[in-house]
Amino acid sequence: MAGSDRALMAGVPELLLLQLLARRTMYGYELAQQVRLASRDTLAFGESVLYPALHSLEQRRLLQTRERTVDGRVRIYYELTAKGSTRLTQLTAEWRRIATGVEAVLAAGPHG
Amino acid sequence: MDEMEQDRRAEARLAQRLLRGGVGLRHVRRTLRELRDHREDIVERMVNQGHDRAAARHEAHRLLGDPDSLVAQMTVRPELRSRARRFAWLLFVLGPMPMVCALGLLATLAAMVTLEGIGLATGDYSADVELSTYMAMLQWVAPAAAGLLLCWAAVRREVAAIWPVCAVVIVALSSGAINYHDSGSMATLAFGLYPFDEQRAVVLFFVLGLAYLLLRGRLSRPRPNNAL
Repeated sequence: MAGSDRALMAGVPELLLLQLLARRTMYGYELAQQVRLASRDTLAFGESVLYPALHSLEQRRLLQTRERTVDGRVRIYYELTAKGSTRLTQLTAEWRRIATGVEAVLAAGPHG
Repeated sequence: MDEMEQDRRAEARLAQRLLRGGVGLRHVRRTLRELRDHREDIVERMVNQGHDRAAARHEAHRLLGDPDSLVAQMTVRPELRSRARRFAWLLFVLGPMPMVCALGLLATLAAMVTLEGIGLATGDYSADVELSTYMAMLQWVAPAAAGLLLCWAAVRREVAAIWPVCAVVIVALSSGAINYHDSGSMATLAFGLYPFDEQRAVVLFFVLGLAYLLLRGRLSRPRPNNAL
């Protein structure tokens, strides 16, 4: 994620990948493109963020993989599991709670 | 060197760095495959946009960038580590003795079948040929096979040298502890420190240590990823 503070962004890849995969199954490159498109070019995951995050989510059984042949190429597709869906609900609620809190502090301004 | 060859070498170096960092073989293989696909997808998109293939490949390499960050991201995650890394103590400290016993049993059974097959079996297990064959299986062949397997696993999974050294010491001690005792009226197989054959233990320790060093020199060179 170019140009963003790493500590601030910790946990964001997991949330975004789960959210995008809740819509449909995708392969790595497709996910990278979707992150960019869905965030209107605000976020971009390089392969060094994307694949370790995907493998980690799969290892924790939040995602599962399936090989599919599309246009003569065998690709590894990722899809959300039931456990991943539950985790997405938790993370979304957590993100909204934090975002609301941060927004309230920022809205109050420096002298608030 | 053409670009394909350069890619293969870069992949082999990346694989080695990931394995050395403790990442599981399954994740290493799949990461290499996914990166290759990712690169091909970038090239394909750029070619479809009207770029020249060579320029597209160059750009794909630039976009995928340097592997340091990928290696750091993968090695920092404990869930991506190989079982040999996560449970090294189990394999290299608790594993050797059961392995020596299991392989000893298998080797002895194989020797029995072979002696039977070539007509040397007499049914009297204390007969010279049979006894020395079975004891060789238990005292030398099984410990050596167990030690070699563990050294091979250590080199293949790039675990720290301390673990195969522990395994070789335990295997050598196990070998020295397997002895045959003939009291005249009864022959018994003993496992313990009294009696203990120091010479056998020392010889096996050095032979397996040398084997480990040779395997490390041979197998830990960067390999093309299709050899992973």
